[in-house]
Amino acid sequence: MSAGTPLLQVDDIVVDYRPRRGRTGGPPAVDHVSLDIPRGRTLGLVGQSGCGKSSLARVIAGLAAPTGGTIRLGGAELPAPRGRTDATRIQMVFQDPGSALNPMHTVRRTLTELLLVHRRAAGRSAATDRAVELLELVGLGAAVLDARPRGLSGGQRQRVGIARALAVEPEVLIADEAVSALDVSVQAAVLNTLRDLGARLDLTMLFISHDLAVTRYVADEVAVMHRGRIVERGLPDDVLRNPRHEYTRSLVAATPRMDGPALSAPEEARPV
Amino acid sequence: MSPLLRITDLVLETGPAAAPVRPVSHVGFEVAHGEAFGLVGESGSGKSLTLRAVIGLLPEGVRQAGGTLELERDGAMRPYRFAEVRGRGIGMVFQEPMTALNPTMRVGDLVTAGPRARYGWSRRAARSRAVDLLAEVGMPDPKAQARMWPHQLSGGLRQRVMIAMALATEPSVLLCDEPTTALDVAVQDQILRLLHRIRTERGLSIVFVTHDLGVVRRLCDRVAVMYAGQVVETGRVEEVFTRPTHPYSAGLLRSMPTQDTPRDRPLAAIPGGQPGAGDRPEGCRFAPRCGHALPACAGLAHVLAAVPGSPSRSACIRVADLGGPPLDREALLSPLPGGTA
Amino acid sequence: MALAPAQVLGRRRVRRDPGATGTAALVTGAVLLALLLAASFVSGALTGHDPALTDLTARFRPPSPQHWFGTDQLGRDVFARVLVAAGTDLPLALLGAAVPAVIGIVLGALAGYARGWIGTAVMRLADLIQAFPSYILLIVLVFLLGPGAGSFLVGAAVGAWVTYARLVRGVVLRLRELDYVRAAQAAGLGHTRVLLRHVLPNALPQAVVYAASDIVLALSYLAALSYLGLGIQAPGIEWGQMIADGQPFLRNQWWVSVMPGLAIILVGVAVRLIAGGLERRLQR
Repeated sequence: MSAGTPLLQVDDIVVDYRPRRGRTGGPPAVDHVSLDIPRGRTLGLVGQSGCGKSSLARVIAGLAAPTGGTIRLGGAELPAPRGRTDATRIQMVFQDPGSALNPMHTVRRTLTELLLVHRRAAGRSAATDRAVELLELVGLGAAVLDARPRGLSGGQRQRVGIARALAVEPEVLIADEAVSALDVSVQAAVLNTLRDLGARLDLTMLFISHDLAVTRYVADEVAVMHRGRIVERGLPDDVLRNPRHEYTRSLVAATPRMDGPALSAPEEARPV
Repeated sequence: MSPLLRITDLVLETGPAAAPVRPVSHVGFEVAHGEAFGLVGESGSGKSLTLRAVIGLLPEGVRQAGGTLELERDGAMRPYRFAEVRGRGIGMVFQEPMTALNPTMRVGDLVTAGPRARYGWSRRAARSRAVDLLAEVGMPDPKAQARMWPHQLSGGLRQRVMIAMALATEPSVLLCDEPTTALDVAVQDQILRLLHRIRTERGLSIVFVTHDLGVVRRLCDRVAVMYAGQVVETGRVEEVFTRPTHPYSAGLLRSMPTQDTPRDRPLAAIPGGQPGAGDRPEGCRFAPRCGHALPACAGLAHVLAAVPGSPSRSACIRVADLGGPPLDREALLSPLPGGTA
Repeated sequence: MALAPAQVLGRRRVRRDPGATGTAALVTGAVLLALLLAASFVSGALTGHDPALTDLTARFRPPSPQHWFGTDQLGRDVFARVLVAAGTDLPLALLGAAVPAVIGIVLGALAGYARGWIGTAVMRLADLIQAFPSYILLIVLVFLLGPGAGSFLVGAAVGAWVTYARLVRGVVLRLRELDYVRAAQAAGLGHTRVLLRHVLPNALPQAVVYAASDIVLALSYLAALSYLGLGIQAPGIEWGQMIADGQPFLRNQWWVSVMPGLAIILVGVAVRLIAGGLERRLQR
């Protein structure tokens, strides 16, 4: 990773949904997590559902206030709740193509609303021009401007979701399971787009997924989250080839290898 | 190995009878005794509908408009009626264990409810049978878990309960509809291992529907790849996965990131999307997205033919030109409009 | 790689408007109501009778070509009166459904989106009001305020907003967890904007469908009030009042009560058509 101050510094974040009194039982959803991402790099965050990765994402995106900890962007702490300008600096691409877009709004309206509210464009026609640029950036074009979400395929909707996140020119993009709901062949195209955008726009990305193979492909570095904590962090291939934490090992074992062995010996682990 | 389940020329229709739409057209496959057969495809390919048709559980508005379904009984393949095989010959495991388990019944009662009603088992006999079955599917504490409610169990354990329910009817074929899709990777792996063990121990056959090629690779002996309501390629898993004989299977395989995918190159995505049931092109349905397509492909009848030099069967007429080591899409790009973007 | 959007779009099936049949029902219902309302303004010309003209020589005439719906105990033409009453009943029924709907939608949306003490206050108030049977609440309020159209509207609004508030709050609670609402918040859009542009429009369809079917309920409230003498007072003409007036003669001069009753049923059918049509059109 490059030297210098990381663009995004997440320090000692705790998210605890349990009532304030008598915090008993398991650990908090996010348990003292610290992360940092240098400018222009992509950090992959891998873990199973319920490990706290989405809670962490929402805190970083400013959608929820943490129980404790700080988030710094470019060295300065982001307040919670964030003001209108700070809110645009970290944007998110969501998982479910079915609910990520307002079903009543056309693509044009979805994009131009943000551009106009945040004065990224002067007037409607300038906003539309910019919307088309954004759509072309994510591999779509003016042809989808007047479509509503139900007229788009899952892959197209995810692309519009990416365009929407980019509309306010964020410094950090969080992709929370952004390709998980897509079919393999469509997923590949969206992954290519995300990677391509990262390089072209020098985007700093937090790529969150349950899929180690997918994460490995997009990320410069991988962090593994388990029960609210980061249990391992390293270069993707190092983590895959030489997993140190027990949980990472089970994850690697379950990640497909096309040339790997089929199941022959019926070995079974203890169920969880 | 001798065949146990045979599906021939299955046609499923929906919409008005005068102008029906066919989500599944002329699908056929055969599953041998003790074999794990994968039915793989992307959403909308018709794989789940095909599986549901096998046991007659089609969703409202979809009807079987053709085809024969046969099961081996007493050494001969015979067409069956659904009532004959539901709850005895053919068992089914669903994707969503939360909604597929009745929340008002204890786990032990759920598992044996079917056979208990059918064979009039006593409560005591049913309970002890349930505990045996829960132990067989690897529940860590079957006696205690038999007394639990479904919501008290984790997703993985619920899926085990559903498998135990299916096994309680002593089926010879287990139909699995994406049973691991809703589960976390590590749990998914455990369920696959469980299915593999049960199949080995009981000698039963599995038909496994999934969109996940990795899962097919781990569990199945043979596979049929479905695209737009048709089987485009079928063969032994290791053959299809290493030497695909249809451009769609090849594209699907290459678009999936694995542990070994080179990170310095873009993933090989297939351009465009799968056509919906109502607007499928004439001839080869994959042709508009295919880098190998010739003008002739648009007029082609769908036939799954033997492939020279391969044990697989393929619907692609260009299969001879696809052969050899990994396809080089860039070199084969055709000038066909819509083929590339 | 880049998808060529025109191609991809072109290949997707252009779905037929799923509301095609919904539209037919919607239009039929609306036309029925509009015709009824229009007829109320020209009832005299249409029937050739003055709805207020009493003629004691022509009492209790059965339906005939001369008097299509017969005449009542004062010899007034029932058809003319049924039509004129539509001019009172329909606007009141529409308002009686719309006023509580608007109040309930606003309060419910606030309660669902803001939660906190606003949400708690709204829902406690709702609980309080629902503790009273709706008819009793209406009758008591109208009794206190004095009979008349205004009292009816106040009474209907106080009792009926609760259902809308609960309905909309439930939908908003669900919608506010959806990713597109989160995305709008994450992009720094203000709460008012998110609520008005992204949450409420998606919560409205269900409330609107409900309000359409509530028109009949409002009509029956009004009729019930008139029946009790707490509704529209003479010389105003109203269906419930007509039914009540004709009730003593129901055995032999059935038409005096039954004809206005049929008018209420006709409105009910029209409103069902509208509600059903709306539901089919708005569901996605």
